[in-house]
Amino acid sequence: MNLKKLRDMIYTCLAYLSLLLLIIPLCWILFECIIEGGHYIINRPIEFFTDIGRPPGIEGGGIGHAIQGSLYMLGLALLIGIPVGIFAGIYLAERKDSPLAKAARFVSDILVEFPTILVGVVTYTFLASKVTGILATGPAAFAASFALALIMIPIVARSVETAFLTIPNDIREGAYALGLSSRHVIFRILLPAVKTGVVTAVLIGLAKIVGESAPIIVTNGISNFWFSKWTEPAPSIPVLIYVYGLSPFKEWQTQAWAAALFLLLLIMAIGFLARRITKKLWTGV
Amino acid sequence: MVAIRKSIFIFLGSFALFLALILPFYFFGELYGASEFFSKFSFLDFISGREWSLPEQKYGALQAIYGTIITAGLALLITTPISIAAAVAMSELLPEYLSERLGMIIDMIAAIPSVVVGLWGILSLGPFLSSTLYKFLIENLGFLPIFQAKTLLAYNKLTAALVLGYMITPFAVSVIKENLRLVPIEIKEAAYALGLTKWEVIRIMLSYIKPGIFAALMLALGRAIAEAVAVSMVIGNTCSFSVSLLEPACTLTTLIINNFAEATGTEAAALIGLGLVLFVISISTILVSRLVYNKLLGGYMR
Repeated sequence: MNLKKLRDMIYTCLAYLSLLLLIIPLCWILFECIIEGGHYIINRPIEFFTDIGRPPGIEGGGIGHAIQGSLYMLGLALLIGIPVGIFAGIYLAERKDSPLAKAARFVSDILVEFPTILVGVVTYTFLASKVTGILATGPAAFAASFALALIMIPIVARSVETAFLTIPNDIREGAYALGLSSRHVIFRILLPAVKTGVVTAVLIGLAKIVGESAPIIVTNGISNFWFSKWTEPAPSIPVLIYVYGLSPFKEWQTQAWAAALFLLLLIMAIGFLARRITKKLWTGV
Repeated sequence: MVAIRKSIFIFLGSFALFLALILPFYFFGELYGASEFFSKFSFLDFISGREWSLPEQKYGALQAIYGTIITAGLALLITTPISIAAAVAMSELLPEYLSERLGMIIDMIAAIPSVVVGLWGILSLGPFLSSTLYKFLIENLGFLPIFQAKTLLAYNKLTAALVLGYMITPFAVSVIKENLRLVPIEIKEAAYALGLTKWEVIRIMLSYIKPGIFAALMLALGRAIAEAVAVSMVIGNTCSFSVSLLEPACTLTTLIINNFAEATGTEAAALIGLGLVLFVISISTILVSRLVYNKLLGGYMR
């Protein structure tokens, strides 16, 4: 009997140990970001957010160009991804038993797990590649936006679908019984009812693409200048972290930590906002 | 009236159709991009070619496939015990409020962008491990082929597997936790009534959700195979067939991400060919886990 108790205790310790193994690296990452990166940001608070990167060996510089590039890229990606994702999501919920909805649901469940680097490869092949692409621009910012939009669409669609499915059927029946057209029912009755759910869906999609770097590197390449044209490579925060982190220069590595801190805070803020809105949806406060 | 009612669903349906066509579009894009390469080289030579060398015009995928299998497999080996134990600790051992807080922390780990994990791997974890663990392994266990290394390198297969394992664990934890929550209370009560200890009951619960654990780990494996940026930062990026875990390697994704932006002509097409291999591997893992999971949705998860 005592042996059994001992074994139970050992297992319990191992279980807690595994939790520790998960939490320690997180603390380590946050610690490095705050100590290395936070220090840099505090020393040059304005320069860091507004200035362009310096060549290696020269002190100072910031990630202003990467923030600007990311804003452009994410902006276009949202412009494409939000409407497509929302409309597809509404269809999935309102025609949930149709073969098309079933197929789209199956595909989007796979796409959520799909390697994002391949999304970049395919987008580049069809749009930007000088040999096979339609626009034949070579690596370009707009291709990165398209890839990000494609990554975002299935996530937004599934979340919007979930939001629409929470609406009781009575409301649909009531609205149709009044003789309203489907267009009115969907856009005037149902969509306003789950507005917060739709906003959350968009935020979830945004949180997914804001830190993506692989599809951007593949479609847009690497740039360390200000955003100039949609058909040229543009900088972005994740790719800047990638380039600066791989470089052997201490100043660049410090700035990579600072950019990582900024990116983490951004993602946490989006997540916090999404949770806040969802809470409001359920409790009304 | 009927016309309007129909037209709105045709409008919405066209977007759903677009969504459903994305996956075939990806597959077609891979085929289309790689077609130029496969018109010159045979697929069999490509998949069984042992060498990837640009100057010699040799495009063999085997080294990259080997690297992917070793790193992703090792990551899965690391994540399996940790994710199961962590899920059990959270759902069975800790009080509700603590496990809720912990759940938020685990979600936070899952939300860290892969490039930030890669940054940590290259600047913190790699140097730390090479001066402690790797030194110890080479000095004391160097007689084992898997721990042999000519020089002490911070960036190798083991570092890549550790980073990957850390990235996929939170996801596996939350799925397994969700499964544990669905074990019928009757089973737990019956087990306790037999006088079993807590861990004997937990073992019964784990065997009850075995298919769920399998699906969760397969999904995690798929993510490990698909990961590109973090791996490319810590794996050392030298293709080889070395058995040693402490030597660098390359994977399907790292070859693509390191070379695609500058590649032209045959090389670019060959890289897309690697993408095709990656497509097939990851789609099959995703499909297997999805099939198991969907079966569960009709079973105990109903």
